[in-house]
Amino acid sequence: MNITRLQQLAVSDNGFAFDPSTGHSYQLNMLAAEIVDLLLKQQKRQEILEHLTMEFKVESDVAAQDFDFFMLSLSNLGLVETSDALSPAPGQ
Amino acid sequence: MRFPQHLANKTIAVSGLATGDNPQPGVPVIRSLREAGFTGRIVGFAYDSLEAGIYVDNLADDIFLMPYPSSGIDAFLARMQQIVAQAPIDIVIPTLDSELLTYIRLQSKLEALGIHTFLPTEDQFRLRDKTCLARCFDDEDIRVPHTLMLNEVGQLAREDIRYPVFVKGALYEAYRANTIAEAAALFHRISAKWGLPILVQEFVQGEEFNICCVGDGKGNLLGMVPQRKLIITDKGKGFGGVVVDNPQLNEFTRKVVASLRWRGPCELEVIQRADGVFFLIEMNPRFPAWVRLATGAGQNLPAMVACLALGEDVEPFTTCHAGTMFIRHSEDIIANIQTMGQLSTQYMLRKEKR
Repeated sequence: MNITRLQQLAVSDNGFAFDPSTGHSYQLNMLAAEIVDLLLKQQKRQEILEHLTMEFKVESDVAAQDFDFFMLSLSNLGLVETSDALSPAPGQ
Repeated sequence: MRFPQHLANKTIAVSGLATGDNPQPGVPVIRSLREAGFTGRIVGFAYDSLEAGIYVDNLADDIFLMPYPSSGIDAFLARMQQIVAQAPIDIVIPTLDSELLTYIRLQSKLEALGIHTFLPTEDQFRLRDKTCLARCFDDEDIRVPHTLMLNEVGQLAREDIRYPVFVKGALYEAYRANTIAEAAALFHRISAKWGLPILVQEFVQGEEFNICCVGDGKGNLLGMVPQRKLIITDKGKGFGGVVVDNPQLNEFTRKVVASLRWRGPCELEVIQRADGVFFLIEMNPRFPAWVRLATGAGQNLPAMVACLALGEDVEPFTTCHAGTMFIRHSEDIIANIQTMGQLSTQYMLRKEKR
């Protein structure tokens, strides 16, 4: 996964993110901010899901659904380029 | 940038004091000069006694009404002679498209009156004209949307026009037309206001950026601040924006300025298509009305241009603060009608010393 654009975001503690290359800004909720933080620490999908399950006390399939939806949003915004390594395994 | 102390007693004239829903750059240019520490006299050149900047406290020290550029170059020069006979002017920073050619053509005569400018040549000015822009660049990296000049509304039916398009006046106004019927209505509306020709420009979809910059006339950029508009009014004016840091956009800007060997301030309007290709939509030959954002982002380009006009050496700006933003607001200025009366009858207004 290429997170170069994501790394360029200026993310403040309150979840406000500014993309200096385009001038777009985004408001991240607590979950999104957590995922972005973990992505920036180069964590893999499975590691992130385990963290989310523990941190937010949700079932793993709920965490996976939220994570995949958020990654799709990041991809649509051009902030990440996803690869097979990130995609959910068949049946997940 | 701090204004050099040895230039502190100079007089700088600035035009374009109208604000409102279609603001001119004069007020932010003057504010930028003051923010650079300029303590000398500032003169405002107005064309109309209702330009709001005339009435703003602590802005211009004196105001002079000018003849419209359409009055002719002789009338303009005569007025300048009258003005400097009362008190000298060292620098003029014109900020309106419609007056620039007059200033360019009068440069040597203004110099003889002691008035210095930092402007493009007439050739440079004409090359970036909306009617020429599409065919003025040899550099294949500088792409301009396909543009046609039309003199009759029937030409909108040409087979090489694919809708949607932008319909533009030669000097001002631009609107998107999705169909030939919309384009025809815009053709009549814009031509009634600004005359012919009307330009029809290919619609390029993507991220729009505006860049305020200054070229040295030798192909080098002396300063550049790019922004993305955050608020766009129904007239297409940016009433809010944020400074961006986009290396590809900066490189594109450098190429445009180098290609034209642009001298003086300008504003580029650029669109980056989804595939990353940049298109130059327009090049305005003066500061934009949002120039104070550049000052706020660390590049006081009006102060730089004032120094350049006097032949001072300046250090090029190399950085600006991405994330600096502006939001424009309007306010009511309270004045006495006699102030307007004085300006209307005497064509000048001497304000009390600040």
